[in-house]
Amino acid sequence: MKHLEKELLKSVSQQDVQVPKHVHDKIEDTLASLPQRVETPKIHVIRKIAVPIAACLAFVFLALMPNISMVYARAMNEIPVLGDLVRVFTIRNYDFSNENYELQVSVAKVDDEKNPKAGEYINKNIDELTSSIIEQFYHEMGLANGNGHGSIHIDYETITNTEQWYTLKLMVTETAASSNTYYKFYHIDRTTGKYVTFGSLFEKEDFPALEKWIVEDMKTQMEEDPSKAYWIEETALGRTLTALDEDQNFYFNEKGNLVIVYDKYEVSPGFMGCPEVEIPREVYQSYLRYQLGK
Amino acid sequence: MLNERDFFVESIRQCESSMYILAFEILRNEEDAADVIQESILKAYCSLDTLRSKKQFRPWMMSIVHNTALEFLRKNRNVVDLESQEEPAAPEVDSDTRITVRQAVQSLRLPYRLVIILFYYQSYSVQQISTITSTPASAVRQQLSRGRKMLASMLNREDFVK
Repeated sequence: MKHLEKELLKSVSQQDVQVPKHVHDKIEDTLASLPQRVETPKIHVIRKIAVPIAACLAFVFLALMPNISMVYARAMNEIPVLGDLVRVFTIRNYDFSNENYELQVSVAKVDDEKNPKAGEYINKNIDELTSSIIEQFYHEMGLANGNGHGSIHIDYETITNTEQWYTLKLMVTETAASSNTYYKFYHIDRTTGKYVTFGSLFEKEDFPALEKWIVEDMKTQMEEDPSKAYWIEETALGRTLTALDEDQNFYFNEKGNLVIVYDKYEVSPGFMGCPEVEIPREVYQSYLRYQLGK
Repeated sequence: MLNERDFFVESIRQCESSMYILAFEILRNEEDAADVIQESILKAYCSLDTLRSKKQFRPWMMSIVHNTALEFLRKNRNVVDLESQEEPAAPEVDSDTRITVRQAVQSLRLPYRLVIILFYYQSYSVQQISTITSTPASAVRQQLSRGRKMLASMLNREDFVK
């Protein structure tokens, strides 16, 4: 390969690559429009200039880039959140598409300066999960040998981002003969700096009490809306399908209620999607292992 | 002493060519490359506080351009079809080897074309390419190795093969 490397180096010619004038002009226009950054201690300047910079940049975005819409909405979400909150951005994209198969994966990276270890744990977890899904996808594509079809989409969104709590939701949709959707929620209790699971919040012996509440709520839902269906009687491996475990998916909504999230087909037929059950604060609070936000 | 804005502007000008090459190699379209660079500049300016050292500006900026270009591809539903790249015409025995090799590089598919260009044409190290593309260094080395094998095969030159 040494001969090839020499030829590659010989073929290098910076003169071959000129930045087109119109591209250069666009870059210069963008640079000219940048507002000054005020250089004072970080905490004060960020809070003071947040609105003027955001407003200025908003004007720049609209003035210079009329053709970019959805891309920018996402880009703005990836701009660091001001203040002491968690940043999340897309660290890597995987894209593949042919006649039969499609793969679109956005890999998130969580950056919590206040709680770096919890953030690193989440990132490692996300990496492992997405890598194994992608590996499986390529393996199955190889086995199908040009036949078959399927797609994988992985994306993410921030559900909660406050000084007390952070929740990231990972969404995986797999399509072959039919489609399957499942989620993975990641949480940081920012008051303790710890990565949190359902088992961190509730003792195992209290799961049945919460499950009972969930089943009663599902019964009520089915009574009020006959189009809904939950498998509240069915069991698998000796457990009801609605049974909670230490890695149960959940999040806290804006009312501070606990929302239990099930995967598609986990507790109900496919048409129900990924059902959620909201448990009010006054119901779950007495079962918490520790008081949140302290 | 330069203030932050001046530092940023000067640094962007210094890596204008590199940013354009990277964006163009991913998007293969001048206008799209220009849009992505604009967006990357604004993203980078907003997140300048995350730059840990001024010496890291170039790979940091290139990483933003790389991710933004891929995001643009995804959002605009450009098909990144790993199988559809045309093979270059069989090279004739030609004294202008430089052009033939360059054409062969241009016909490589992503990610091999990108790592070959970043390594040989932009003189980035494997570690820097790893940072820019958010790919483990071991994977970058593998992509370089495969890229070279593909080039050797395309160029069909026994003296290119070990």
